[in-house]
Amino acid sequence: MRSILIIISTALLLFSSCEEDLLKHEFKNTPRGNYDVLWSEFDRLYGAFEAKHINWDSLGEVYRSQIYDETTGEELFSLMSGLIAELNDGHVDIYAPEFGLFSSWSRRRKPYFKDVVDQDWSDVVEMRINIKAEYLKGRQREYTDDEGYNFFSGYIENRGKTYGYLCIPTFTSDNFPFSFVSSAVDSFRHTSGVLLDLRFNGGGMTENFVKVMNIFSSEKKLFLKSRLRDGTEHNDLSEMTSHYTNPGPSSLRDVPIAVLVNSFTASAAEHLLLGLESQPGVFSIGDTTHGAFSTVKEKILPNGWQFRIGPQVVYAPNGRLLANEEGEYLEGIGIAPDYYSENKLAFIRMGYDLVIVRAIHLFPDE
Amino acid sequence: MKGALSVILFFCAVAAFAQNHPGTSMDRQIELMPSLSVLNYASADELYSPMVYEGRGLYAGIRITFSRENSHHIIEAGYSDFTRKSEELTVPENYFLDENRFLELHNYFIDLSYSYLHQLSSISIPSAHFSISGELSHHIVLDEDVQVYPEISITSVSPGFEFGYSPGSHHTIKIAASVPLFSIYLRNNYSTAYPQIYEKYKQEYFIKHNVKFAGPGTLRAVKAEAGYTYSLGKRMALTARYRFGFLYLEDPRPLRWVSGLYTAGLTYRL
Repeated sequence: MRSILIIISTALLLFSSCEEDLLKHEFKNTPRGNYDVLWSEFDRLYGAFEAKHINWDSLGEVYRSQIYDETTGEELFSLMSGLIAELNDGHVDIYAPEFGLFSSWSRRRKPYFKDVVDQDWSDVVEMRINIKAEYLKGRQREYTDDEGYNFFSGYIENRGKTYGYLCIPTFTSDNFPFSFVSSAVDSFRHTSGVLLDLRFNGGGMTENFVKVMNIFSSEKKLFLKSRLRDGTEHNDLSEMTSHYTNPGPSSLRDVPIAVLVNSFTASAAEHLLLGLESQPGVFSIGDTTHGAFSTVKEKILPNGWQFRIGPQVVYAPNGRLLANEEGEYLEGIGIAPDYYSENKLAFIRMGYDLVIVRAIHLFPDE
Repeated sequence: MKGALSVILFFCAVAAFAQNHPGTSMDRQIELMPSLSVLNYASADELYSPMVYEGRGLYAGIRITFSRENSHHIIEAGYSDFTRKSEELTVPENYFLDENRFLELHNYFIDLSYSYLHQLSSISIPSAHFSISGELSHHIVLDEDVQVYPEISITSVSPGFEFGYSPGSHHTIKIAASVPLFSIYLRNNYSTAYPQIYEKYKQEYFIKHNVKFAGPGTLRAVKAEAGYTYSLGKRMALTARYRFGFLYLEDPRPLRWVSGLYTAGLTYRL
């Protein structure tokens, strides 16, 4: 009997806690190891290689050939940044705590306003303060969420007409103030037009933008189609999904809408723009949007650096790639507004928001 | 609370059944074995990360055996939850994310199974028995920190065998193994992403599009165990058991896991 117990105990000790060793650890925390994880995750998951005519194998070799065991972290970050920059994608980026965030987006250094050089968020804050003071005359309704995003709405009086104005600065909030938005929309029903300000709205959660889109929509319309990466080959994409606006009984009807956008109107805010552009009486004004249409997945490298990939490809309602007149896929390029109008900080400081001024003049006479 | 009440009611029903169907040790018998285990679990789910995440935690289980002559019906349930980390992952200082979704995974493990064992009478080794078995099992691993979706939820039908040997009146040694013949499983889709318009209906969309069937060609898995039971008398016995599990599933992206369950249990015969 003792021998049996010894055999059992030995067997248990042999197996004891070593199960995980049976799984092969495939990736090493070396410059090449990290690069290979980055490259292969994009290779298997990024959706728009074919839409953007990108030869990922070739690019992979070009950058891999510059990576050695002695490659420093800074050099590696620079090479990885170079690799993802080839994608020019509004949703693709890499973050390293020691080197910061690098966005694949080619306009990453674009100033917030035409007449300044740097990106300074206080200029955006100043623009919004100016809108409240000069256009809403300090009578705006406001809601500030837990993260400090300030939603505000009010009326703009111009030449005897009243226009509604609503600034939605984000869709990221877990507690998105839909009742605030809904209440503002209710108050706009008898106005001569509504200015929906999505400038500097970087997107956020789907369910937030969908609710807003539907309350501003008067007709059920197909506004977008999409496919998701569905296999290891670059052209392995899922079946086409159709995206519709879906108005409800409380939706805004028979009121023209101007959607104010700029290069920092991104992601969910761009989906909202596409949805609203499918509606009658809607026009967009401002600057070309960001170009970040795909849903986004976050991943991590063995060295802890984090990166994001877009696995989705988007199509126009006719089933063709969402592209501009030159045939370029719009991911990274953005949606051109119906009316181009860029703001200048100098004018804002004088009390003029050129985009708002022009939008009001574009509303049809009743 | 509702779950605890259900468990109590279930055991009351089992006890009542046992009292209404008194049997001898030769024909009818019901055994209850509550157990406490240590579960070692490591997996690499390429849907989320190519890296291996591993961890261990306490695992509570219950096993009920209904025996009659050469037939044994076994119901088992087990639960554990613990956090796993990846040894391959180096965490930089001053990590900026509040949500450490990649740094560690908090998992919930749920196992339910029903097995039928038929003891073959033709075996001629003294004090030994050999049984063939069929198991219907359900196994869920939920990854709270990655997505709300399961790493895997899998229901399998697995044929197998059990060999038992009793070298003395108090001692029994058993080895057993089973391999899934076919399974129905639920994992995330290839991209782990959904069209924006479906956000509101994610759960419905998720289940509708991701329930799949796997046969021996697509699912490679094995469950093997070795156990020792020391009888303390007519009604009580102590059991030590080791169970090894391995699974490899290619679709939609490879999932590999290995597990080791180290169990100590106290059997009570009703």
